[in-house]
Amino acid sequence: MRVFHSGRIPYTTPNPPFFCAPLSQRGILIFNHSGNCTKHNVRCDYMDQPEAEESQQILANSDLRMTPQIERDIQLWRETGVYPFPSLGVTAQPTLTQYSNTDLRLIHHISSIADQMQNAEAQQRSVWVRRVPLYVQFPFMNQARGNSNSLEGSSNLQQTMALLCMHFSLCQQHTSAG
Amino acid sequence: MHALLALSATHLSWLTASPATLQISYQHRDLALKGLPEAIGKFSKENADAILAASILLSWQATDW
Repeated sequence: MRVFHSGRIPYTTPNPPFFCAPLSQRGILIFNHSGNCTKHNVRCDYMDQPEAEESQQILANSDLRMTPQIERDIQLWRETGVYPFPSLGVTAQPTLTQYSNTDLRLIHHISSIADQMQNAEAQQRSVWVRRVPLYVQFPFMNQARGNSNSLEGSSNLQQTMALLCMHFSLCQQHTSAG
Repeated sequence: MHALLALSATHLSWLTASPATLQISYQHRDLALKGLPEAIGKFSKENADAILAASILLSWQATDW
């Protein structure tokens, strides 16, 4: 794997290796002995990854706002393979067996928000309403290689990028004006 | 997929103020941030959409702008 680094930011040989999340998002991958952020000199949250046993405890203690109705939805989704939010138009189906109930609950949560916003925003002017269903679909589509819809998705993503660029541009103008 | 799960868990942790749910979001974001450079290393027509989607989702979750 290639390691990118800026001349201004120190890094050392990995032991254990890890990536500084904020910096890696900018294409700067930092390897560090201490596990702390070398740029901001703070402890890195990503060094606190739990062991397997502790991970089970976290899952047991987590509040996922699971209701009996949502449990039934997820169970039905598992049994039938039918995505519980048909109005979002997610056609590519994931391999549900590789996802835990927690994972499916998280997909259900983000999908329910997109569904609610789609219903609330009849004119569908916001980027979120039009594009989040695509984000739900892309990882699934990646599994189903050769799906012809991926070409359509690609053009939609290009539109999304254009909209995001416009959004950031407007934010920058607003910040400059302020 | 981990980028999307991280976003969902982050929102749930914000709704519930549950540290354990926030920890789940860290786990997924960690996996997404490790998987993204690997996927970029194997960049192809097949994984291009997923790479772009993951990049955008992770950029939305960045807090150090």
